[in-house]
Amino acid sequence: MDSQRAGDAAYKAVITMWDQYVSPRYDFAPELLVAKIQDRRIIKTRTVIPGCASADENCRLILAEGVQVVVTGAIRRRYFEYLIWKKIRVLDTVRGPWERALELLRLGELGPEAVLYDERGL
Amino acid sequence: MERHRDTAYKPQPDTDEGMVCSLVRLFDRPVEFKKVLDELPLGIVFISLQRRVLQMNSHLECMTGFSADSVTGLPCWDVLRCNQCVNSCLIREAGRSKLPVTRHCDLVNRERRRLGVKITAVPVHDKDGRLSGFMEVVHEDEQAESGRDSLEPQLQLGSFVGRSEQLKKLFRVVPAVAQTDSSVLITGETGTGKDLLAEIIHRNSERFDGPFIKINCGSLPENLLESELFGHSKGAFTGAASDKMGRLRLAHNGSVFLTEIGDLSLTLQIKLLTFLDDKVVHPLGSTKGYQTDVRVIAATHRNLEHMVREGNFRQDLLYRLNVVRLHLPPLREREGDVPLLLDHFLKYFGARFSKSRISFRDRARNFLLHYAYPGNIREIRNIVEYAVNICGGEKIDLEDLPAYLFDQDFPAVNGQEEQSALEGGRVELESGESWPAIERKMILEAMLACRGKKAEAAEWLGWSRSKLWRKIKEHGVE
Repeated sequence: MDSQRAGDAAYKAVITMWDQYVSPRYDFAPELLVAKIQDRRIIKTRTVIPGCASADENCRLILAEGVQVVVTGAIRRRYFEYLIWKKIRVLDTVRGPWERALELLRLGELGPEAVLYDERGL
Repeated sequence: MERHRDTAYKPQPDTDEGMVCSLVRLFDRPVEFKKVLDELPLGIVFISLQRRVLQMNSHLECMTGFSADSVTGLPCWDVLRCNQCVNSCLIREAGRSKLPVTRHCDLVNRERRRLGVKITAVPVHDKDGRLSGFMEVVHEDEQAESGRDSLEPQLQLGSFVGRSEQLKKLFRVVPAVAQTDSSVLITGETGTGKDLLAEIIHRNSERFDGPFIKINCGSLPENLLESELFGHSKGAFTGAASDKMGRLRLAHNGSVFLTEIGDLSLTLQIKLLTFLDDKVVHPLGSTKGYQTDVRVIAATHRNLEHMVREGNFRQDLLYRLNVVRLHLPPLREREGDVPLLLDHFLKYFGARFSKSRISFRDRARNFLLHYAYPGNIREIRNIVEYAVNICGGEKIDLEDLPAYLFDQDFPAVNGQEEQSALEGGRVELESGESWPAIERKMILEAMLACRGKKAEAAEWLGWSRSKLWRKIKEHGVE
């Protein structure tokens, strides 16, 4: 989490998206949000729609973008370990709206297995 | 489970102070519902109309890695984490159709392990028929994954054996066709394996655990067939003492195989077409329709296009069935498959009848290699089964083969002519030569092998001497 603290150098994060939520599956995420974060501020965001949703394609894109943090739902062990091996921090089993995940990530307060739904479960 | 910043979210606890669901009035004393669920050897989850988890049993806790308490109130997609959750929600499908929906899919559990599962989503209604929520039943299904992976093009697909180009092409296409939900029309001569192919398609489809119901459209009179297909209500006709479901409803969530579809009467063709359009079954004598989810596979040995031209088959039904068409070639067109099938069936029946060392004598094998097999695979199988049974030693000779093979002229010629008249094309044998040309070649080979001695040549060919004389005259062999 240290690399995401305020005052640190800029870093890139990817949140796998499914509609308004963090995608429950890494390999079937229809969209990826690429965010550049620096000093608790979101510098830039853009959405990438993979031509064909797959875990391999996501890994390729994450490496090509030089991403340091990945936020997602369920991810298979082989892809999780591959990303860790590539020195990428993986926050998996994150459940809830992706906007809330991005906000907590910005603040450096997002961890794995976070539940981000509000009282109404939304 | 560690929860990060989840103070805002409080799931409903299933405690004595909270909600403990009990089954009352079923047994002498009320029993706790969760404890009953926990005894089941399959995963069960109850889901609200808003797709939030209400309750799940311990088996599903093991499968997903999440405790029921920690996920109660969470969206079901964040708990089951199936590929179907993202692609095509089963709950929505079940809610729309108001019927149970079953799919094979995979989930990724908390340990980041992928599990092949079969999930059935069941809509739950209150006593007034209003949708109240859903139940999902989850079976572990590792076989489904490995089964699909193993379907590579090879010499064998299910019980199909062949190395000819036609069969290789079929082996490549069938797994892909099986995965779709489209109607399939299988054509081919009798004995080419249409029933077997239909079953292979079903077994390799998403519906493989559902029923596979076969209906022979040519086996029953029209009225009986209608009742068999669509069912009837009590009192619909004399003798209808009770309601009958009909095979189309029995095939719900599975596949229905309509064999000999070309023998279906025009009246039933219309009714079948209506069913294929809306998938609603209207039993005889009933005003109520029943929605079904059925894949239709049809087969025929007839030329349906020819029947449409003659007005014996509805064109719109042909279009409806003919979404994917698979043609099974006759054995005479499958170059190189006869020796393979002879060896395959010899090995199969040898093992079955405890004659594992049995083999063909050269002349018997040579005879069988040149036979035309108008009955296709069924015939070659029966011939080998007969020969293995009859043969007293370890070498199958000509006298061990069925007598009908020698008692008549090769029946394939007539059979082929009938078929070719139907197809409107000239029949060619597997080598590209016509049958008389091959027969002539056989005689020449036999005469050569027996140094011109006709009696020996006749024996070599497995013919009587008179037949050889007649054939020599017929083909002008000097």
